[in-house]
Amino acid sequence: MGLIIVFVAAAAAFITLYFAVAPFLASKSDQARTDLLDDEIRQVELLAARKSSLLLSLRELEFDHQTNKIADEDYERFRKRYERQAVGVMRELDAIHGGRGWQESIENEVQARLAAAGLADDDQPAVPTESQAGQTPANPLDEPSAADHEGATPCAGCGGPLELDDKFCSQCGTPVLKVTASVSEATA
Amino acid sequence: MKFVGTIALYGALFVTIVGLALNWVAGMTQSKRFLQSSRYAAFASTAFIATASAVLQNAILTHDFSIQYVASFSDRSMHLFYLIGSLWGGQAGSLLFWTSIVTFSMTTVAYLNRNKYQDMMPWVIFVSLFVQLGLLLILCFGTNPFDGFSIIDDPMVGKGLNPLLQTPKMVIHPPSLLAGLATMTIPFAFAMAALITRNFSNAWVEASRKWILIPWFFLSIGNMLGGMWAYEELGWGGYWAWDPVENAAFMPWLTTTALLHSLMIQERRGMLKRWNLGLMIGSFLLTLFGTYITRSGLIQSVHSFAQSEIGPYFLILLLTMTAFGVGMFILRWREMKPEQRLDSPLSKEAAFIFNNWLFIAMTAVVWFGTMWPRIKEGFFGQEVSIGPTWFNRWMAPMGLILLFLMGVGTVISWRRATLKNFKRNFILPIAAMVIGTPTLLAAYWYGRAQYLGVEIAPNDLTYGVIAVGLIVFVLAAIIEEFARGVGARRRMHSETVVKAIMGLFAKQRRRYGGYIIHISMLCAFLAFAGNALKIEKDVSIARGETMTIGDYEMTYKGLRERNDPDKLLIIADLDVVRRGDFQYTIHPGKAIFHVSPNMPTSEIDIRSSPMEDFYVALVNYEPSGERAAFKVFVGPFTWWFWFGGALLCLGTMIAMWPTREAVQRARWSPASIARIAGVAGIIMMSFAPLGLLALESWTSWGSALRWDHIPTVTRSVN
Repeated sequence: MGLIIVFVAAAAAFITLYFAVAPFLASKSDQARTDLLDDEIRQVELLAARKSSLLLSLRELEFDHQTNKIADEDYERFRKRYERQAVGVMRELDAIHGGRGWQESIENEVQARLAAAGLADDDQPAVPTESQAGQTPANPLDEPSAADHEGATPCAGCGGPLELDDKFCSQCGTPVLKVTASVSEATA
Repeated sequence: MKFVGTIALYGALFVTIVGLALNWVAGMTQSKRFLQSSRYAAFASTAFIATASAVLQNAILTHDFSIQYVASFSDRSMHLFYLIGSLWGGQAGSLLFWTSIVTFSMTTVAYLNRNKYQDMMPWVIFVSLFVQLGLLLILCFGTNPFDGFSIIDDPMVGKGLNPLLQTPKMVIHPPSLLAGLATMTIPFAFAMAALITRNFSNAWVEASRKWILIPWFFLSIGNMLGGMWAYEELGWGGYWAWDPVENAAFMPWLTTTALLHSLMIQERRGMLKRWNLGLMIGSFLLTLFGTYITRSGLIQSVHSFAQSEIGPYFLILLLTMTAFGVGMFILRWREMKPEQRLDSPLSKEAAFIFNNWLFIAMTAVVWFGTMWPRIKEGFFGQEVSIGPTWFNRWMAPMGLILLFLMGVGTVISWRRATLKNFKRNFILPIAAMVIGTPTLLAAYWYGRAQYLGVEIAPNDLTYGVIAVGLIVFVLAAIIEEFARGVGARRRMHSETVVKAIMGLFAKQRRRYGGYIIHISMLCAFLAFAGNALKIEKDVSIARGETMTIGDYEMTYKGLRERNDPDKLLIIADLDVVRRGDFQYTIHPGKAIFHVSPNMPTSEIDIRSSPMEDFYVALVNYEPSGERAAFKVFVGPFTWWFWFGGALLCLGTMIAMWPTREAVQRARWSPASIARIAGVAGIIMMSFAPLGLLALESWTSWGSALRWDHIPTVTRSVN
């Protein structure tokens, strides 16, 4: 038993050593690609981390207010500041992917490729296409999910565009109906 | 095998130096290639150190006595449990263990933050590797655990582990303290990285707040188990004696506790930037300082077995790290501007700042009390000794003020307390204190204390009463907090009370875990207050004679002997009667191990209950058994100290429990069953020490009779 651990540790040492050298052995183009990808991932991670820490601060602040740990005017001031910062971070996050609507464009691209490969109906039943939705309206539960995939379902409140996995409208805050969310989860 | 171990150590040293260079370049240039490579170099150094540790552990388990370390700290008759403990039972092994923990925590941090804090991470790894380099240098050139004998004098048997250390607590106490001292490297590395990169945003605070809990947790457990050991094995009669080595481990605990609070202020309000960085550097240096004074033999104490020749190495490491840490701190002083100023002395921020000052003052007192005798002896040649009385005179009032601040800090509002805040949050705790304190004290007097017949010094009495009053105050404040939290959750989420309480722990785990820790501190303070009522007697009684202590009567029935292959046991039997009712027969004793006949160990018997401990130690005896001397005492509320320890573990675990996001980031996918199992495991682990205490207290496992349970044959020496 002891010996096995010794061997595993020694093997790990040599494997990690290889990975330490590996970045310098890769070709120039590979290196460039990792650099670019890496940058984007890191930027998103950084912003996401800031967003979640701001949301956490907001939650704590809200809780402090609920438990009388902060005076009303201080609460308002801090809340506004955190919210402003959080909105800023979220804008930046959106900007990285060229604004909202990128999910939709990915979906469209997938559909196009599936259609081109002729796989749309047989192999991928989990992703209903527009044609499928049109043909089989028998199951009423299918309807909202199919409608989702047609892209921007308008918000019930203000008529603004909605993303696939939005839980509420980003313009007016109206919650997206629960049934839509659960069905799209079930079919996805 | 020892060859493999030495090679692994030198390999680790080499990779560490390479890793330092790679991380330097990665930090300076932010080049992706270097960032990736440097991370893997750090991983590789970890793997090499793991190999060395595995080799040493394997050698101990397979009794490879050609290695000096194995021969000195283990033998064939030792139980597997203690054999594992031998890994950190001696100088070189404990150092290797320390290095392993530094390197494992560094690897964990590097892995978990592989996509975060890109500017800081290379420097975090750099600083950790730097510490690791220092330790590896000591291991390679100062005290190599794989040093062997020359072929002809390989011993056939080992010397065995120090018998005093052969108790379960001692297998957990050293690694816990070592882990506490070692993991302090990580938050320190974050602080240094912040200084190096001039990144004084909340990034290092965020990272450190997670990591600082780990050393704090291990230091707490380590100190507590050390106290338990002193109480139950050494026969000190108490769990804390202000022994220099205890102090050495206590000082970083104090500063870290201060830091835990002040980091919160920086995170929320952007204040105390300089203070926190300074405190972090100071805490880390105190861990090195404590190790240095313990291992160099600069101070005399029960830990003198850890003394050795490596003192100078540690001194160099300490001085280097001090120069590095303090130098960077001074260099960046001007750039660390606070974002906010203190608005009012009546605010949560101010309460936390006062608490920090108190913690620092306590650290200073402990430092002075530990070092002054040495300094005085060094400069003036006079021998002075500073004992527990001196420490208690200073620490007791400061502890009470701290207790008061604990209550105030819990309920006072942020930024500026208003009259409204005072009315809503303070009335209830104050009312509880005014009504509860006299009620409790009177109840205790009529229910118990009057029978003990103890005379309390007026000073102790005052402190005791204030302590009880403040305990009630703080407890009421915390209960009020929980009630408010439950109310808030029920308003916001319309939950049931039980669900709301669960929700508090799940969603606000740092805050409510922290409150649980506060309650554990209250338990500790109750135990301290109980010390004022302690009755102690040293008696020598003949067979059949009875002695009285409080309302207990104890009759000495006689002495027995028991021969084991590895030791001789002397067991005393005493009947204990309380107010006419027979309670139990108690069995203190002495064990004389054949490997060290001049060092008989005490087998103390303690009956522990929340109300009080009944503690008997066999001090001396006539060989005929006609007469024996005992140390007996009744210690009210000592049990609460250990109970507090268990609560502290529980609270820390709640506070440290990773969020769902953190778990996802680590790419684990625990099912809900695993989560439940984890929570159950935590609760069990937290209360395990307490269970052990109860077991040892109420069964013969804690007395001299415990050796009866161990089969005494089948131990061959070949």
